[in-house]
Amino acid sequence: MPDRTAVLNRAPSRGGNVRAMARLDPQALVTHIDRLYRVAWALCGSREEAEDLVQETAARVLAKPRQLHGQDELAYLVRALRNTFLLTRRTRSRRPHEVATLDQVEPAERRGTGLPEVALEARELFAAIAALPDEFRHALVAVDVAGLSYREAADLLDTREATIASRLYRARERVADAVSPRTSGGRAGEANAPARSLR
Amino acid sequence: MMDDDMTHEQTPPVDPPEALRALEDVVAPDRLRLAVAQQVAAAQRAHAPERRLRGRLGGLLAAAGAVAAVLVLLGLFAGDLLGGGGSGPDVRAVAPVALRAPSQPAPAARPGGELLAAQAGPIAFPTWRRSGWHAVGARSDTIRGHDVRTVFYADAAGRRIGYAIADAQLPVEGGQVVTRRGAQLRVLDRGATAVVTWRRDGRTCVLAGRGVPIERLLTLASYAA
Repeated sequence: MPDRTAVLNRAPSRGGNVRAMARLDPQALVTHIDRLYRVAWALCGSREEAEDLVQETAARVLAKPRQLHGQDELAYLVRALRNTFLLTRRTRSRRPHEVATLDQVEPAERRGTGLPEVALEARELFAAIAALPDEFRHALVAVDVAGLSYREAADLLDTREATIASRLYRARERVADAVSPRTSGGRAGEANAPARSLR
Repeated sequence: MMDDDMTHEQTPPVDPPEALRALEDVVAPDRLRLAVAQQVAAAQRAHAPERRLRGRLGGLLAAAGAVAAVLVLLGLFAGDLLGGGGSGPDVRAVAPVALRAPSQPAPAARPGGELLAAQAGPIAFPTWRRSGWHAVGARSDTIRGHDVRTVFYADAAGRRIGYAIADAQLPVEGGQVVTRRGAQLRVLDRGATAVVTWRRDGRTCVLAGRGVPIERLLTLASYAA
């Protein structure tokens, strides 16, 4: 049964975009940019690499008109992003490590909220997600970060909905464990939650 | 498989951890938003003629168009072989333009605040306001038959840089190729005058400034490339 309690709400534009042979509107990349960025960061574990991954995905998607084949826009884009991630990771593993010819000095990142605590928490979360075993990570990213349904996630990962549910359960447990030392004890309403859960 | 033997019924229902809600506050950086918006705009322009052709005239004219396109490409290729590409300026001839004085007022920012109401072909000039720069002027030049559009920016310290875009891929030699955020950039000069160049959408972009660290230019260039 699809989980409609995904952490991140779907964009309002998602609902009407399922058309059997509709073409992908390139503007969907702009509409879903925040979500794609979060997915990329969760996959890469690095926001710099996430930016590169989103841009690389956009370049590939925009290279020619794309048919949605019954998917909605977000599911299509998440699939494209994941494929690009897997492709670049394979390519990188075969290529000698490149050393930048100039020392890279990047300015401090501006976070969307401007709250350092939020930025720190997000970084820890993304690190925890990126550290998950691949199968757990891809399930959690598809459902909790991208906001796909169990069915869409199962399609994306070429597995069964039950498997998605199982992997998601374990992935959420591990993420909760990983971040619990920092976040436990400070939230209202946690008294009734299981000891290791952040719920 | 890691845990695929666990059935859906055996999986206890569980909501996402509360901590994951922190991810909702994570938004794409403005530079990424700008870069993707520019990619999308460029793609839409590139695909627009194809859509019009297909929609209005059908396959026959499309085939004729393809033949014409091949002829145009052959013509361009022949032009290059005959030296047409080599008779124009190279990037080093364009760089000084980015260091000249503005001759036009600064373009206004477009709604949204990330792009200026000035562009060279498909490439809109950025405001770079979030990086601490603001547009102070512009100019338009023709260098050996190539249009070069330049926007000048200044920072709080009064340093000025020029972002010039030539209407063709100009030849360039020397310098040092570096990669920033996936963008390939070429550093032509890193002394008192710093010059970075890159290619985009069939055009040549040059970013130059005096007394500006090369890393500042590379960072800005990586946002625009």
